[in-house]
Amino acid sequence: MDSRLSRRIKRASPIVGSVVIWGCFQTWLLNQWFGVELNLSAYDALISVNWIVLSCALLELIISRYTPKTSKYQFVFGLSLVVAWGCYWLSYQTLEILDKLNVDYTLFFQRSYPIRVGANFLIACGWSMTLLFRKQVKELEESASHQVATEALVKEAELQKLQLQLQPHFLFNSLNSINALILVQPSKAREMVQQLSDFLRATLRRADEQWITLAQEVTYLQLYLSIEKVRFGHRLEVRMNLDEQIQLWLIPPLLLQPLVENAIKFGLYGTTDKVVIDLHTQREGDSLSIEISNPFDEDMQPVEGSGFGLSGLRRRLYLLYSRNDLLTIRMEENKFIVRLILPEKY
Amino acid sequence: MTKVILIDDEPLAREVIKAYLKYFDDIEVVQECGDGFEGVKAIQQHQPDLIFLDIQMPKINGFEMLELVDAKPSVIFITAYDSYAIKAFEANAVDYLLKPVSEERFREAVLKWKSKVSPTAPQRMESVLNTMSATAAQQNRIVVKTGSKVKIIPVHDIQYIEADDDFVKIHTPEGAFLKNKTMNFYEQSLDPAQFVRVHRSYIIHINQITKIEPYQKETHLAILRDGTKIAVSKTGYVKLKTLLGI
Repeated sequence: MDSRLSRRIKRASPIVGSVVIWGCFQTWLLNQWFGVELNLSAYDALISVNWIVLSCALLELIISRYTPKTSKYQFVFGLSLVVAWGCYWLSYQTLEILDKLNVDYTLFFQRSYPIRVGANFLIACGWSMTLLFRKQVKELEESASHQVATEALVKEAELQKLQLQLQPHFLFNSLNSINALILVQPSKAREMVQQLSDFLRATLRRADEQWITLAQEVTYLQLYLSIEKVRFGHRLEVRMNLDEQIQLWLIPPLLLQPLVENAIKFGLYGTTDKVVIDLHTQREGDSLSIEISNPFDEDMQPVEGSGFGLSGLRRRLYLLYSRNDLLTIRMEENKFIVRLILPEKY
Repeated sequence: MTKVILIDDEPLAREVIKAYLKYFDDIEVVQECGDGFEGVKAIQQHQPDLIFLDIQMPKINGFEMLELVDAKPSVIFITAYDSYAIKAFEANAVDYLLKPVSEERFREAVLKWKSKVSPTAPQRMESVLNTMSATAAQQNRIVVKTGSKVKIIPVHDIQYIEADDDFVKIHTPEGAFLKNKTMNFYEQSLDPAQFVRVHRSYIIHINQITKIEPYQKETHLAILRDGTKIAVSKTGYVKLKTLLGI
């Protein structure tokens, strides 16, 4: 509270100072220049300064409450003109009420009309321009900070959504497999329930994490693969070739698994033969390179052009790294190869 | 004995159905198939009374497989959750089971099939197939059968489609293939930015056109890259002009 008060005093002191100086100057001018006696000069100066200060307060009130969207300069200009003339008229009336006006001084007062109104106008105009400028700066700052906050919020929400794209197909098909195992191999069924729970728990935990090590992601991937093996073990083989040096590199979570899931899906549904998925990670300079390949039958149409079901991942990479070139796809001898480059986490 | 075929690419999914079917003494599983190609062959060979059919399968899906079968058996679809497919089933009262399949629900479906001699009216099945294969065509492929072989035609390989009695003939660089569908079906399901119905009997792929010549009064001829001349009707010419921007 105290600090707020002192800040206010600090802010107001130049204004108070200039008001006092303006009053003294006016007194001196009337007294020395026009030969008005000191007492009357002081009265005149005090009254006109008083009115102009009150008018400025009024201007601040008006401008802070309302400024038109268009032609605000004309508005301020007109307002200042009204205020300047009003101050002159009020000063005259006040002097008359206080009975300080003799015949000579009335004449003098009326003659100085253009100077008095002009000075008032300049003060009012300067003051309202300052107010207008300050108001605009404040609005700009507010909208900028608001925009930054909104963008951050949108980005975070989008990232979370992209991260948590658990495939319902996967879940229901796994439950169906468990259902079958209960009938034919109950012990295997228990094992798969355990694997599925571990996988789901890890998925939920991953959603809250920003960065994990490559080794962690690979462990998670193996959980996923153990489930897919139960379903498609007769056709599916996954070969991993991992660079031991980079096991502790930090990568965004749930990045590898969707890629492998995608490769398995297109491998399994794109051919009728055995499906071999190759996963290869290695260090390339300051980056981590991950390659995943799956077999592909030539007479099959690449589903949905080159999209290959990876648009969500692409979007995520863009949000994380602001780059569009991290994910590339190529075809080589009936193989689809997805290559992912992850720059080192800074 | 009722003959049944199971078509699902997951062995465990077939295990469940087999186990559930033990409850019925009069049903015999004559074959199990791991994909649609095997399915087509098995159906032709065994002429089953009923098939259990998965939808998501290697290379061709359950709907595409059914399209290739001439004498369609009764079908109970088995699927993991897919809202679009389920809507098509429900709209046509075709029976389906959701994975994981419960034994009660399974028995109910089989008993329902047994109680009616012809469980699903053929036109209803046709309607489901039309809805579902329209999406496949939008996914850029058409599945056809040539002799005993199944061929997948990428949509961009189609030169033109010609009406042929109750069938349509799909012309590709590798030859023409007959398909048991209507011109209207392809007019509606193929991408209208690429395929135009220029005549009652023709739909052409616009990137195949090299020239358009006037023919008899008010009709034109479209000349394709391989020299084929195709009649363009008056309304077809208007459609072509708007699409090509001339």
